Amino acid sequence: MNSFKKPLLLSIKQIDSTDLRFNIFESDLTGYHFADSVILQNTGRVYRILYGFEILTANLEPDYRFPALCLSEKLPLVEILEIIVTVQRRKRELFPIETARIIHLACQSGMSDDDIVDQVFSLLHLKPDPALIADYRQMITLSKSMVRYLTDKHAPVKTWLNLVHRGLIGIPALDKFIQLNPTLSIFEEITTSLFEISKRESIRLDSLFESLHWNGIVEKADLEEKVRIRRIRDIIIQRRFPKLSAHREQVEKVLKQIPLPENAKLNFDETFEKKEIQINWRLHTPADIERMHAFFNDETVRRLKILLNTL
Amino acid sequence: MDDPVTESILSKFPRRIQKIIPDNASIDEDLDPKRILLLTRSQGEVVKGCPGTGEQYLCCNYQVINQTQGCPMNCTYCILQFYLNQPATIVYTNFNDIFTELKEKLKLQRKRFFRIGTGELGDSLALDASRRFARQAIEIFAHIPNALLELKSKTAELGDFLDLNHNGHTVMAWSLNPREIIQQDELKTAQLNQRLAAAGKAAEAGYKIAFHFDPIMDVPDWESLYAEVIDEMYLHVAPAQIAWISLGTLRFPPSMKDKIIERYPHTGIPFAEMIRGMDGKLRYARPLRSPMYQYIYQKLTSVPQPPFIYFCMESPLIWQEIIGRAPESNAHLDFMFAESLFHRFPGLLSEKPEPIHYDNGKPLG
Repeated sequence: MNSFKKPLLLSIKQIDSTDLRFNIFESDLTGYHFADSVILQNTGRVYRILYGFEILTANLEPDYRFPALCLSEKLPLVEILEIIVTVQRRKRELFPIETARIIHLACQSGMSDDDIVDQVFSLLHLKPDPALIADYRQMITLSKSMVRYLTDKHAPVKTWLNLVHRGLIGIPALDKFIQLNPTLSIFEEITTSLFEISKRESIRLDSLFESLHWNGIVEKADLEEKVRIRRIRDIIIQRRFPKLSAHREQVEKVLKQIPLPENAKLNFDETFEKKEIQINWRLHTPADIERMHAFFNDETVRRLKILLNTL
Repeated sequence: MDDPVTESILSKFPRRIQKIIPDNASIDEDLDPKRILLLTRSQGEVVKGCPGTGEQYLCCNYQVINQTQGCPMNCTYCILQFYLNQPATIVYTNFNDIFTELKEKLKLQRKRFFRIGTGELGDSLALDASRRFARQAIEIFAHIPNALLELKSKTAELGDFLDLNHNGHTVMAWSLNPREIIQQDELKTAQLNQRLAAAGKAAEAGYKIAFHFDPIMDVPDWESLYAEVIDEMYLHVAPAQIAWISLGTLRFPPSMKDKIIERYPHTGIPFAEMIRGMDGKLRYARPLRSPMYQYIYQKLTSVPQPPFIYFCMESPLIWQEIIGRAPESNAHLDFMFAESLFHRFPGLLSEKPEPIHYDNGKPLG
C-alpha cells in the first residue's frame, strides 16, 4: 500500500490517547497481542490511532514499544476509512453501529451528503440513499448498553434501523429491559408492539410505559428474569391485541374446565382461523385406553362442545 | 405510432412530455409510476382468471381483463403498491386484439356464464385511456350472450356511458366505505355521495349495479358508520337492480405493512389487531371480523328481495357462520352467481345454468 510509510517501533507514550475520533470498531479482543494491527497517523508531536485502540486499554507500560503501521499525515479521510475498514473486514463484517460511526465521522469532518453517498457508501456496502445518513447518525445516540446488547445478539441492520425509525432511541425503560437479557426475537416483538400501540392509541412512549407499570415489573428483583420477561410480554400482547386477548381468555377459561390427563394434549388454532380442536393422546398401556374412554364422558363431551363453540 | 387509440389518448395531453421508447427500453425507476403513462401493446394474454388467494379461502372464479395496470388514486391499503412492480401505469391500446382474445376464449365455454372485470389491476374508469376501452367493451359485451362486463371504480366518472347500448350486459360497480374511511384511507377518490350519485344515474340508464364493501375496516363506531352507508346505498339504487354485493375485510401481505407505515404515516391500518391467515395474508382474526360481517350482512338483507351477497377471499367457516351455508368449492360459488343472475334477471342468461358447466372451474386464460 503506497499510503504507508515504513513500519515503526513506537512507545505507548507517543500515542495521543485523547484523540478518539477513529475509535469506531467494537472490540472483539480480550486484550492486545503484539501481532495485532495498529495503524497510526503522525499529527506532529504525537501519533493518532486510526486502528487498534485495544492497545490503550491493555495496561501497558508507557515505555512499552510496539510495531505500528503509519499512514501519511496528508491522507484524505476517505482513503483512511477504506484502509481501516478493509483491515477490519478481514476479521468480520461491520456492525451497524460501526457503519453509523463512520458516517458520523464523515459528516463531522465536513463532507457533504452527496460526497458521503458517492465516496463512503460503496465502502460500507450501502445503497446510495441519502436518507440513510440521517438514520445512521441517529443510531449514534443509542445507549452503550443497547449497543452492547444488539451487537452481542448479532441483531440484523433492520432491527437497528427499526429502533431509529420508530423513535425508540434513548429510552431508559428499554435499557432496563435488556438487562434481563431477552432473546432478540422477543425484543423485536416487544419494540414493534410498543411502537404500534403508541401509534394506534396516539400515546407518548413514556406515558405508555407508565400505564403498563413497566418499571415495576422489570425491576422486581424477587422474580426470575425469564418470569419478568414473560410478564412484560404478556401485558404487551394484551395491550396490542385487546379484543383477541379477551377472546383467548374466554377460550382458556373453558379449557381449564376440561380435566385433561397428563398423557393427553389439547390444541387449537391460536389465530382462530380454524374452528377445531386437536387432541393428542399417548397410549402406552390398556389402562391408558380405559382412561381415555372414561375421559369422554357426557360432561366432558358437553364441555368440549362449549369449547368448540367458543373458538 | 400508427395507432389511432394511442394518438387519440395522447391528444388529450398536448403539454405533457411524450416520448416514444423501444419495446425493451427501461423506464427510470426513480419516477413515480402514477405519473408515467406507458401506452403500449400487449405481448401475451390479457384475459385471465383473477389471481385470488390460497386454496383455504373461497374464490369466485372471476375473470379479468388487465388492459390497465396501475391507478392514479392513493388508497393506503391498496395491494397494487406491492403486487405491481412496474415503473409506469401501463395501458394496452391494442383493443381489437384484446377483444379478439376475449371472444375466442368465451367461445370455448359457451354454456358457462362469466363475470369479467377490468378493475383488478387498476380502476376501470379513472383514466381516460381506461374509459375509452370501457366504452368499446360495453358495446362488445352487449352482443356476448354468456358474459357480464364489470367496470369497478372509486370515481364518479360516467362520461357518455349513459347513452351507450349495453343491453344489460354491463355491471357498473363501486367500492363503498364510510366517509371517515374514504377521507383517511382512500385518497384522491370520489366522495361517497359522488359514487352513489353516479351509481344512481347508471341504474336509471338501465345498467346493472354492483357494490363492493371491501375492505371493511374495524374502526370505532363501525356499526353505525356502515349502517349509514348501506341506508344511503339503497336510497340511490334499488336492491332489484343490484347484481351482487361483495364483502371483504381488510387484508394484505405482511410485507406491505412497513410500506404502508412509511408511505402513509397517518393511517391506523398497520396497527389493527390482525393475524396471519391461512393464505399468509394479515387479516382481522375471525372472532373480530365475523361480527362485522354478521352485522353488515343482516343490514344488507333486511330489504325485500335483497341482492346476491358473497364474501371475497373468505373461509368456508365464515360463510357458514354468517349465511348458514358455504359453497362447496370455487366452482360452486361461480355457479351460485350464475343461478342468482338467472333468477333475478330473467332473459340475461339464455338457459338455466347447470353445475356441470362450472365444475371444471377452468379460467378463461
